[in-house]
Amino acid sequence: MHEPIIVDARGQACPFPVVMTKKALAENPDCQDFLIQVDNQVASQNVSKYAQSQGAESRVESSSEDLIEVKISRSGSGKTSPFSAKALPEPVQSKAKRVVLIGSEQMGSGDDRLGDKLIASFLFALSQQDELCDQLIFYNTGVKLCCRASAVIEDLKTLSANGVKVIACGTCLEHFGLKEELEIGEISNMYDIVEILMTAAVVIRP
Amino acid sequence: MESRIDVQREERKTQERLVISFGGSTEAQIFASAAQEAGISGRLIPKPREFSADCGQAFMTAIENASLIEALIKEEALEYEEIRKLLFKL
Repeated sequence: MHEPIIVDARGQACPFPVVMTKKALAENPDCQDFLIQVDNQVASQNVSKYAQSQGAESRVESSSEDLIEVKISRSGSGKTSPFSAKALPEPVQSKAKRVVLIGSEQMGSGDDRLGDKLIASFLFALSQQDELCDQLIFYNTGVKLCCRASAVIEDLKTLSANGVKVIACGTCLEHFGLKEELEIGEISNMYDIVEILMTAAVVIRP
Repeated sequence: MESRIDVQREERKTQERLVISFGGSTEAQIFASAAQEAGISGRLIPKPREFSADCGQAFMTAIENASLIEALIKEEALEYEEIRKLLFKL
């Protein structure tokens, strides 16, 4: 059995762990097994999601506080995978038509209380549109709106239930210590966010 | 499994709600606070276009709270503009 190719992405900020993984997979087409080393959970999740989007299987093992290993295995010809079979998630949906980008927990600047009211009004009004947007991306303090105790959770749930994909930046959640508080939305990385924005027909930033 | 696009194109369910409009945000805020203290569930929303084209806030609550709202307005002498029943998308 060949040794896995090891990619040490510890200390690398998002999206570099995924970028490095992508490069390793592309540069070693004959290699089946890879071991990606990262130092935080968000990076391990992003790398796993990327691997799965490429049709590979992944398993995360945490060795210590500073070392999380993501074992990636590409399906070989007739080779039995060492990992249990699981349904592959959908690939990143990059062809969004209308994307709403929310980079703050308030709308506008100058008065925070007013900004709180405005963002709540905006999201309610958004939920009542006949034609909804395709994706809602939250970053910086905007991710707080997707967490428990957020005043706008019900409207985000309404939007999500009606097909709007809600995405929250993983680096931002980790920065604010809110990863465990995420109530709605999928954790994503800058790589995916940029891809979505680059292929969107309309980007709305309230 | 339904695709995401199919979920959007199906007609969304709606629900009728009681909506109270106000002349200004101060009145809206006072009303919302009074309702909360009285234990009446509801929330402030942007003023629906059915009231006027102006920007502003309205208080939305369940239709079943109509008599409670009426009593609250009388007891607390709360200011408001109009009360309507409107449909909202779920």
